[in-house]
Amino acid sequence: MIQWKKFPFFDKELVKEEGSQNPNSVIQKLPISCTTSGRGILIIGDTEGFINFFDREFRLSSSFHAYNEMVNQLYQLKERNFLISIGHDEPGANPILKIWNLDKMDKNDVPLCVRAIKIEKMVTITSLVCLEDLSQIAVGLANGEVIAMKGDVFRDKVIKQKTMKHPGESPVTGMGFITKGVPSPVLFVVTTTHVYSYIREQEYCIDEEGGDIGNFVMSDDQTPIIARPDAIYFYNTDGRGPCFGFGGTKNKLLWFRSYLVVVGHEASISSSAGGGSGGTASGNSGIGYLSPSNMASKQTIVNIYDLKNKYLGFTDKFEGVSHIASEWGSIFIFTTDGKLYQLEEKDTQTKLETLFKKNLYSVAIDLAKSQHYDNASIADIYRKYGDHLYTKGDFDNAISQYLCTIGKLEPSYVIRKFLDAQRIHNLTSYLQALHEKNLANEDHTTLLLNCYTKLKDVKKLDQFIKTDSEMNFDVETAIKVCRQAGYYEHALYLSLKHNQHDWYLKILLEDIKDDQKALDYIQTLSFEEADKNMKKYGKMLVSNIPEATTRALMKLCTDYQPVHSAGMFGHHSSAFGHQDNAAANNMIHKVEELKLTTDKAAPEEFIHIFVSQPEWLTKFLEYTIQQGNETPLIYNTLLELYLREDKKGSASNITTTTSSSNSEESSNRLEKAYEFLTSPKSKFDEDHALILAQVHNWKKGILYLYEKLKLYNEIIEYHMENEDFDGLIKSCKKYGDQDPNLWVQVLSYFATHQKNCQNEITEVLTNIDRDNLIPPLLVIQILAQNKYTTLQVIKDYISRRLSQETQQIDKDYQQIKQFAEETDKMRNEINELKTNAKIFQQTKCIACHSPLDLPSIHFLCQHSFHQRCLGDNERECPLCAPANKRLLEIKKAQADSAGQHDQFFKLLESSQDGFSTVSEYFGRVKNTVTNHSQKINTLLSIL
Amino acid sequence: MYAFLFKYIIIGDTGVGKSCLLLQFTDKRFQPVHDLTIGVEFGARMISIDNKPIKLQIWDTAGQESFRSITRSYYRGSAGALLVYDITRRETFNHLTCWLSKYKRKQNNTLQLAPPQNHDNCVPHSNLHLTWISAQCQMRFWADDVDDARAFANSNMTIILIGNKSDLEQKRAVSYEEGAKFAEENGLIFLETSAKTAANVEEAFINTAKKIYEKIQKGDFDIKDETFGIKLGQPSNKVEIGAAPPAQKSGCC
Ligand SMILES: Nc1nc2c(ncn2[C@@H]2O[C@H](COP(=O)(O)OP(=O)(O)OP(=O)(O)O)[C@@H](O)[C@H]2O)c(=O)[nH]1
Ligand SMILES: [Mg+2]
Ligand SMILES: [Zn+2]
Ligand SMILES: [Zn+2]
Repeated sequence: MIQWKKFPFFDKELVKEEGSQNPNSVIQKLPISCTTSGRGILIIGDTEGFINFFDREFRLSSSFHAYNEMVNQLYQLKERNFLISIGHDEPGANPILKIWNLDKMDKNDVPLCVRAIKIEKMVTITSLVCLEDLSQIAVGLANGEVIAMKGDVFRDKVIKQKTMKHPGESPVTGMGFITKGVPSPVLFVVTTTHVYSYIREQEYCIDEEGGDIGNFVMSDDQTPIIARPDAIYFYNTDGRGPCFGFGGTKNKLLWFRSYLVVVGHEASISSSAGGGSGGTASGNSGIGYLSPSNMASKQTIVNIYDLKNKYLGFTDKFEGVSHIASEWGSIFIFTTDGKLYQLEEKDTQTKLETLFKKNLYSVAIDLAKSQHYDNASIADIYRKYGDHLYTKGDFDNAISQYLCTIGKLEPSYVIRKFLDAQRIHNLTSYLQALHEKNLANEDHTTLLLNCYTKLKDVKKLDQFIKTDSEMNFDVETAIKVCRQAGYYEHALYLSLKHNQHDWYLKILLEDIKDDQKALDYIQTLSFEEADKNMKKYGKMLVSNIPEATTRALMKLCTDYQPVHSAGMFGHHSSAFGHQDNAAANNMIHKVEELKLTTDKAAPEEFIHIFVSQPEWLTKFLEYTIQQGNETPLIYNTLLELYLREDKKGSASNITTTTSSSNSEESSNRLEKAYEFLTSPKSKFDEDHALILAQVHNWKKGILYLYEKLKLYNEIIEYHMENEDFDGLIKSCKKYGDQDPNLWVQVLSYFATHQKNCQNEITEVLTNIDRDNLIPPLLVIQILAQNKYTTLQVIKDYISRRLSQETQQIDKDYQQIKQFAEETDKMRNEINELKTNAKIFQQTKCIACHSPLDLPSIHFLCQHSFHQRCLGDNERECPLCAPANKRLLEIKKAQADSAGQHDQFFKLLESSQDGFSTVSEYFGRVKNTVTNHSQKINTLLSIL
Repeated sequence: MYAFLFKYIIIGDTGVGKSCLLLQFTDKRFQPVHDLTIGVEFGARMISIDNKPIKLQIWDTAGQESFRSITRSYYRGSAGALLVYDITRRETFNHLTCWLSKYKRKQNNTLQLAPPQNHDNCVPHSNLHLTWISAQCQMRFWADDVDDARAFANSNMTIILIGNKSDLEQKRAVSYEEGAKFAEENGLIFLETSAKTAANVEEAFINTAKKIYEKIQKGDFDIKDETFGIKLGQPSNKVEIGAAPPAQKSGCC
């Protein structure tokens, strides 16, 4: 016989007499006919008409005489404390159904009989079921009839007894109501030959095999179960459900928790091996099973099945079982010899431990799950299972168990085990699962990718990296690992997909060395990204593919638009085929979302990347200038380039044979540079440009820039250094107006020069003379340094100068005289005013031109007024007031500015003629001259 | 609710992986330990064909000889059958003819004892030993057929032949071609599956359902007759559990 695994999940114990080792004597003496239970009390009917109540300690708590004859059937409601019984009051009379209210006991402990109904048929009752509300009671008879009683048993005068099923050959052996999940209660009826269901009194035959008495039970979830010699069948209202092929005759079934308790006999060898046909045959003539006495003498086996988890929770032999019941979490087995056994289920933890000892982890897991253990506890059993399999060396199955621990067990526990064992395949599947459940960290990703690459499992790697089902992993780590392992295509794919531009470019440039692709890629990026990456990788790109890079830079610095040609991706995708394109399309999509403004990069920021490519830098800069996107730096750099090229050219000239074409070329370049430098549009940083020109010793440029920068001194000096007399004179003529000092310098130069340069000196002197640049004394002093200078050269100059000065002196004297006279005159006038009386001869008022009368006011200025015409202001002559005021202001200003030396020096500097400025100031500070005499002396010495 | 309910049975020798196929299809998991099916187990899953929800009610039968009498009663009224062999065990393939002979005979309506010279129907190989086994099992099936004449009422049953354990390539004992050839000769759909890796498992169940659905579209069945193993879905508001068809009602008493 094929059997399930057996576990000792129940403890069997004989129910003893209180305080003794003997069997319970009350039970032993009881002529039991039927039992019921379910509300914390075990109810036993006996053949003498008593209904007995037992408590948990198996004491007879009460007992009452319900019938005169045997109690036939007992049925206890689950929700209400009601008991329904069928029995006989007289032998051979009709059976009587009684409904007892167990909550209402009289003083003799007899419950109230709510209703007694005489069953109309005088046939043996084989089965009794009720609905909880007692609205339907069904009674099954030995003649195959089913009587239904419907109505309100508490109120209706008459309860109608209706034949639901007509009598037939086969007796009713079991009944049950199905109320859950159905619109109206379904009555399930089993006879020895058929199974029926009744829905609203409509009969359906759902099986053409029945079941013997005692072989029907309803599970707690209202599944009808029929035991037959060949198997135990589950039913639903439609017909057969699953079945379990436990062979052997059965005589009692009990549903306990999630167990099916089966009392029966082991199938004989002949009946099990020969298939079911023998069993079916005997089942058809099953009336013989009805008699319990048939079984009583034989050894009986009690099996407790967990049908869901597929094991036997208990199996044991008994000396004939007469009744079976359950209450208080235990199963009670009444044997034919009057003993009562209690089967108590062990607690789950004990059961689990039993299973662990037997290494039956999968059963343990099922058990824990059915007991609703929490996930952590279940995961722990999986771990135990995994450990067990692992130590057995069954790594494949071990890993399947560890997979179920994910989320509860620390992954490193598992990873370490499989790393140690070098079980890369198993490790891979575990790591993969971690990722699928989004529980992987960076280390796990690294490890997984390393596993793939170690296994050279490109397919899996592809799958991992390229599946659309988003595996949750750290992209950057993945890129790094792929790259390290040389799986560049994968690294590229990832970086492309996740917009890791930096990685993408790094791999392309450093590993794959596909500069063109990198450059193309950069050009698909947003402006900011393109700008950034060009700065980063431009140097490399320029040195490898200068032309394309330069062109890209030109775009970047003028009007940048991300390129989105799908073609470029298709063109370069070798290994990826359409997937790559998909990623590219994805990219393109993103690119298109960018706003369509034109961005420009600053070209000067890219100059440094051209370090090895001056020709391309030249092109680049020329282009930027042409595009009007210019800064001094660009101009300067380009200028430098022009000049440097020249230098380079000449350098090569030296090494190779001096060819005229080369020097011609270099002069061409200089020409170009000059043109560039002098172009009116140019925006040089001139100081910098000057340095460049000086570094490259580019005369034309230097002079141009000196001029531009008004560095006339430098021009002069430049000529001096080059002993370019002609140039000197020319420059002085050119710039002498702006800086007359140049002449003086040149004069000194010529004066101190080794060579005889009389002509030049003459020329210079002429100019100095013309503008009277320095005092003749100084001229003479300067010229005295030169040994070649003859008197001849300066005679003209000296005499001219002297005569001029004499004239000037004369003129000055004359002026002094004139001023002295004027001063005297004024002094007299003042004196007069102070000492003499003034006669006012005016007769008319200046204001109103009418004759003066009193009161009138006369001012010293010879103006007279009516007092009334003057108004309030009689202190000043209104006519002369403005002029007086102006005079006073001038006087005050002169006094003020006399102290302001800064202004004086400024004025002095800016004035053509230092002397006149000083003398003017002298005039102003006449009175304070002594204070300032020292300063004046200093001034004079400066001049 | 469903538009149709299709009843399936899974048959084949013990250990070929019938229960595993069902478990993979309904629970998407694999059971490495052989839990011998002792009797008949049940599984159900909703699928969708042509955008219609279809409920598959699947009966997984025990392959062990000793349960044949129990499982037989479940064959009745199936719309689809998964006939499974194990590609790593040649004998499970050789037994296919035995499994199939019932239906064959059923289709020919020859319920009487068939003449024993009909051997070539059952013995594809000249191997003496196998011939003996096949002859043996054929004998028994004839007896079964008589015994259980009502079991196979549905000659329109859609049968798919399944070569399971395709993941065990290194242990393969039956080539794909052999399987395909056998299926073609007997008018069956054919697939190799792995209940372990789930390869083709969905397809096995769904392709069968598609075939049945096609037959319905063609009008091959009287859908009201539940002996074909097909039920029309009822509008969910008036579910009547146990509302058996008139055919069954009258057939009983
Ligand atoms: N490698 C592999 N093993 C499988 C596959 N399918 C089933 N098995 C194994 O084969 C054994 C039998 O599987 P079951 O599904 O229980 O076999 P069965 O056909 O239901 O057997 P019975 O219930 O006796 O009829 C089990 O140990 C399974 O783990 C498969 O596709 N590949
Ligand atoms: Mg199985
Ligand atoms: Zn006046
Ligand atoms: Zn006046």
